[in-house]
Order: sequence, then C-alpha cells, then structure tokens
Amino acid sequence: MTDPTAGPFLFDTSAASYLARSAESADRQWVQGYGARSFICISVVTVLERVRGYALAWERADPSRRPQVNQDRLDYLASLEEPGVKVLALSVAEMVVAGQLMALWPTPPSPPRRSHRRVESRQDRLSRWRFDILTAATALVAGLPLVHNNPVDFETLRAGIERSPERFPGVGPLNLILVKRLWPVPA
Amino acid sequence: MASSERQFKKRKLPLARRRSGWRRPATRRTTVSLPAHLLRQAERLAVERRQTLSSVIAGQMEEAFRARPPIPDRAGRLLELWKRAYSHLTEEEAMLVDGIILSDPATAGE
Repeated sequence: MTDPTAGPFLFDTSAASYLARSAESADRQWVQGYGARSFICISVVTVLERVRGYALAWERADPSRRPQVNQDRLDYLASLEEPGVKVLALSVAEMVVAGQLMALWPTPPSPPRRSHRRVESRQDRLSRWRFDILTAATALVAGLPLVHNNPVDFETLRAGIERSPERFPGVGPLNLILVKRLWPVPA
Repeated sequence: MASSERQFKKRKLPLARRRSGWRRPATRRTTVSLPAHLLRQAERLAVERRQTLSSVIAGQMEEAFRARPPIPDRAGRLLELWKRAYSHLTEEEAMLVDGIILSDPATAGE
C-alpha cells in the first residue's frame, strides 16, 4: 500500500480519471486520508487536456446535449478552486527537462489507441505523449512522486532517466505510483 | 519492589479507584514557556480547585483537544466534484476528456 501520509504526490490525467470513476470505497478512503494531510497536486497540462476534451465533446455533441457537457466542464473547473487542490504551472525549469525528454524519446512508446472502428491519429498520439512528458517534467522539477494509470508511457521515461541521469542534472529519479496499487487488492 | 510501584503505593488513592484498578496516567516532565497572564489564571484555578498546576493545565489541554474540529474532508469534496464532472459523459466523451481523441480512420489519416 502507498502510505497516504507520504504525500504530496502529483496526480496525472489518467490517475485523476481513475479515482473520479472508481466505485471502490478503499480508493475513496485512501484519497480522504491523503487529502487530510497533503494537497492534491495536478499539472497545468492536465487542465489543458481536460478543457480541450470538454471542448471537443461539446463540439461533437447534439445541441440538446451541449448544456450538460458544458455543466460538466464547469464542475471540473470548480474543482480546481477547491482548497485541497494545487495546480502546478510550467516554467523554464520544466521546459528544460521536457526538452531533454522529447529529444531522447521523440516518438511515443506505444501505438495509437483504437476503439471499435475509431482510431487515434498519429498526431494526436504524439501530442498525448508530449503532454505526458510535460507532466513527468513537472513531477521531476517539483520532486514529487507521480501517481498515474499509464505505465507504458511513464515507465519508459522513468527507465530512460535512470539510464541517462547526466542529462537531467539536479532532478530525478522519476518516482512512479500506479493508481491501481494505492492500496492492496485482496487476493 | 520497583521504585515506580513504591511511589504509586505511597500515595493514598481513593478506595473506589484502587478497587477499579485505576492507574495514574504516565507523566513526563518538561519545560514550557507560557504567557504570564495565562499562567496566573491557571495558578488561581489550581488554588480554587485544590489541584496541582500540572493537573489544571493537563485538564485544560484535554478539553481543548477534545473540542478540536475534525480535519475537513477536502479530498472527499474534490472527488464529488470530479465524479459529477465525469458521471454524465459517454465512453467516447470520457476518452476525449482523458486526452484521447478518436476519429474515423479516414479523418485520422490511417
């Protein structure tokens, strides 16, 4: 189990989604225990991904459905104003780290996502990969463990930083916590 | 007989307490600096109640800790807002909000 008192941690987009949709009371209890002592830190990159997602969903929705999508977007934005949330911004330090990461891994480590007859374009997969890199850079510069639900992408970055620490002076290692392993799953 | 036990026996406790197996809570000696006016009030209270200064201060501290409001459930409220922001989304919309944009293969250039 990940000690909820060992925070603060940075929660990436996939981890925040997992926790928001989880019906497990253990997840909720863990987050409550964590939130009693630490801020829920998220990267401003996550805000960008979310807001872009709500905007695209609104564009693709029937006109009758659009008010609901807009309300969901407003609820999300309201969550960012909560006292327990801290949104970490990007600055020169994060860009220096992200630039190194993008040079080392110009292409994503896994193929575009597919669902039924729909597919993620290569450009969209690349932009998602770069968002992950920016989030990892935020965690590295802030010195926070990164809670995620995207092991392929983030483990690639973690292993690479371990292999080439000289390219990341003053930061690292990238500590990762898989959101599904915040608490032990009963056998 | 251990010295702590000897000390305990030396003081005469009320019979009811002795019979119930009550034990004086362990104490620790320390030095604290208190505002002079609070210390004076505590001393007055100790005289009025015929208690030691230590027991008056300990009693007041116990009351204060009992009255302390619980830590607000900041994360629980945040989770509620997140759940509200996601619960109405279709599967495709949820993927969009997670940063995954799926399109028809022709549009996606596959």
